[in-house]
Amino acid sequence: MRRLSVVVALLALGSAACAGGAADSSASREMTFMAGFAPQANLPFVGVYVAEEQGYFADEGLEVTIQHSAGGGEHLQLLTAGEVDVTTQDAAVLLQRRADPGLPLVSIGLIGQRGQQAFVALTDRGIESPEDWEGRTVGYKGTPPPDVFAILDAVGLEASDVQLVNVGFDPRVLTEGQVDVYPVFKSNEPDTLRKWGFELEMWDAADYGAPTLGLAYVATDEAVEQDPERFRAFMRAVIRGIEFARDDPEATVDIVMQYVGEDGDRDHQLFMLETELDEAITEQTEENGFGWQTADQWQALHDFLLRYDALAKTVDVTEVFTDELLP
Amino acid sequence: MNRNGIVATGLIVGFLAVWEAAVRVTGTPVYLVPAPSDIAMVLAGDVSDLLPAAGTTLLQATGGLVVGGALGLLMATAITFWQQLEQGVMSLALLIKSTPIIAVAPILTVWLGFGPAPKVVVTALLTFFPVLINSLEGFRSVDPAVADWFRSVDAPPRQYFLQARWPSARPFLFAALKVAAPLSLIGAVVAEWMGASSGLGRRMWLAYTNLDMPSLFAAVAVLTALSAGIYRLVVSAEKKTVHWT
Amino acid sequence: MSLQVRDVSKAFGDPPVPALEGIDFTVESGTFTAIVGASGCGKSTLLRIVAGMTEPDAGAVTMEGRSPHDLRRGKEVGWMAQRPALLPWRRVRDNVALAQSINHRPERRLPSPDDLLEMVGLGHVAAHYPHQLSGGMQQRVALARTLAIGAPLWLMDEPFAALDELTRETLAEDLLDIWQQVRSTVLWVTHHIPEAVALADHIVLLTPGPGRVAGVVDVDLARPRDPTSAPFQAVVRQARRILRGAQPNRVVA
Repeated sequence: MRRLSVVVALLALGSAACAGGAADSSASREMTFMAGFAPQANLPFVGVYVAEEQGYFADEGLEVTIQHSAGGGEHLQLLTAGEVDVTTQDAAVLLQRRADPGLPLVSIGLIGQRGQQAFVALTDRGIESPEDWEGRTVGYKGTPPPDVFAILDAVGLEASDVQLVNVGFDPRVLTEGQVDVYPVFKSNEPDTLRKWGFELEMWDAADYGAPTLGLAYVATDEAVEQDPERFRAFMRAVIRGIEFARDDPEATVDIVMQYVGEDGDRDHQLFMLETELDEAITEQTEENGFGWQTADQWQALHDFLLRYDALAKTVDVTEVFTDELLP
Repeated sequence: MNRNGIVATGLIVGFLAVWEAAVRVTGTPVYLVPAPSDIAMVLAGDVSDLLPAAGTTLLQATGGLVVGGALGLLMATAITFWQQLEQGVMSLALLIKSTPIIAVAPILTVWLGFGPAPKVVVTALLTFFPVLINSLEGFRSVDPAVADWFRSVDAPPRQYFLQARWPSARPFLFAALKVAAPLSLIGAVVAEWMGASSGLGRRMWLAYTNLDMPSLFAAVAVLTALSAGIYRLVVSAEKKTVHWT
Repeated sequence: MSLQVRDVSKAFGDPPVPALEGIDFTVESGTFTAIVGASGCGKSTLLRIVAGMTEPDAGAVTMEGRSPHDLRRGKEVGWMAQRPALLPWRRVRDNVALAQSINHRPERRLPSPDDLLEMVGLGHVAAHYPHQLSGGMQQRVALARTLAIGAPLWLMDEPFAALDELTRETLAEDLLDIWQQVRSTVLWVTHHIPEAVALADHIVLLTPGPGRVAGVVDVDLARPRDPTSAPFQAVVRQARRILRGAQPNRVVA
């Protein structure tokens, strides 16, 4: 697999040489982007869709192939193997994968400035605040996330005060009463649940002091080292794409629907886009642009994960991200 | 161990050796393809977790197999006694069989919760069909000469069923079990992916999302061993019960 | 008590091919009657009609006014076929015992399965499984099973056809021995004329398909019969003549 990366690097160098070796060569360069899930209005995906459809990639001399992952995690494997150049990943998961099994990945742009997840309960169950979680069933997907423990700590409860239950990906377990508190992606299930006519109470760990972060664009250390210019061009194009989305959400959703397909729910995608835009805009990004990331942010998240046993070992956060590729 | 056993073991050991060498020589990272030695380490280290997980999955699979098998047998028996039921029952059975389990399993979790119930149901849905088809075939495959004799003594249908049809169907039933038993494990694992708290399926899913390949392969290895074990059990039960063929 | 076959006809297939035409004869109770003809002359079909396993297209079979169905319901039929049709999943003794339990008629006091097996010379293999026995031994078990029912009517469809000559001879002797003690009414189907002459009191000869009664031969020889003796061979010749299309008359040997 390493041999493949070497070949890719050689080709990149070779094509750069053929093009005259100048970093701002107008020769077309190929890249493969794989979205971490199925086509939808996740902001990093949106940046790529818009950059493609509005010609921003072409402006940068990039030929980008857009693929989607089935959501199982193979996008990280393909990235590491060199089959894919850029993918998306949740910031916390990126830290975890760098710790174990030690994937050599780096965030080149932090789009989601706050974490994607929250917890909801049906309003008629009478659970008004996390203090009311006591004695109730609280769901998690996979393993209990540090977010849960952070919220419990903030209201003075212990993990043993609630019943943690492993739930699947179907929110109907909440509506059918199999679980009291359900873990959601803020830009996704709440919309669906409300459409079914349910009113929700929502709690975000960030509101209780947890330094959560959201989705980032991710590439491999090696690839970035070998041809940083290509990734700079990529980031310029996609940031333009996200700015376009902020300025004209309706037109953006039209573009997204081309990737989602005919049976997609346009309203749902609009909700997703607007929610994600909310999470991407902070004072910091107003100043420096979308995707800006700092060592403080990453270190805070790193320590948070460590405190709640969600990180296998310590990691040097300066290696986990770079702001040098951002415009 | 007889000669066949030695050859089989030799092949497996050889295969593992080639795998180990290939990974080491090419320097393939452990998160892409783990070497057998990595997997073995996980197996040894996680025994205290893997065994209960295997136990859970096995229990759910067995429960589903028993329910599904009983259902299949019951349906086949009903059709044998009341032939008019055949079309209706078979249509229903085909409908159930054709529904992809992936579509059904999440709904079951919504209805039945996170415990063993949805896994047992999923497994039962998978296993009842081969048992139904084979039992029916078996009930209808009484040796014509034997059938003649029973007619000649005017045996009542119940006697004929118990003394001729049921014993004739036993080889067919075991053939179905050889298919259904490993299938039941797959059913339990798939159902666990849809939301379970324990079991091999959950370990596999977690390992995959964490890109922990050695753990994933370790769980798969345990699952394979279970599957082979169940199959052996069926074969030996068959040898003891169907000794005349 | 006699068995009457009245004008029985049967055809198979579409368009119908006649297998039996106008079969008519009477069997006195306690006698041994052989039905003889070439393969395909419908003799097995005839036996099945007598057993009530097949319905004739025309004509009827009665015994004291009762139909074959009634006979079976009354557990009065003992059926033996070319294949012994023992239950392979039951031991020899249990095969015989099953016959008795299915056909439980309290008024018939019957010997135990082990005694019956002794009668046919198989007491020593009572605990074996059928597949462990030879073909001839399996037929003996089938005979014991037939005895176990205590039926007055024995219908036997070429039961020795699959056995070698020596086994056939031994079995035939033993069968006759037992029959002479029990004196059931026997209908014995075979394609082998000498065998019929050796066993039966009367021989019904059927023409090749469609089967019609070519003639009936009465065999008045004393048992045990010597196949090498002149009278024996005379009867054999007579039967052959009839079958070859000579006078379809009733002749006494």
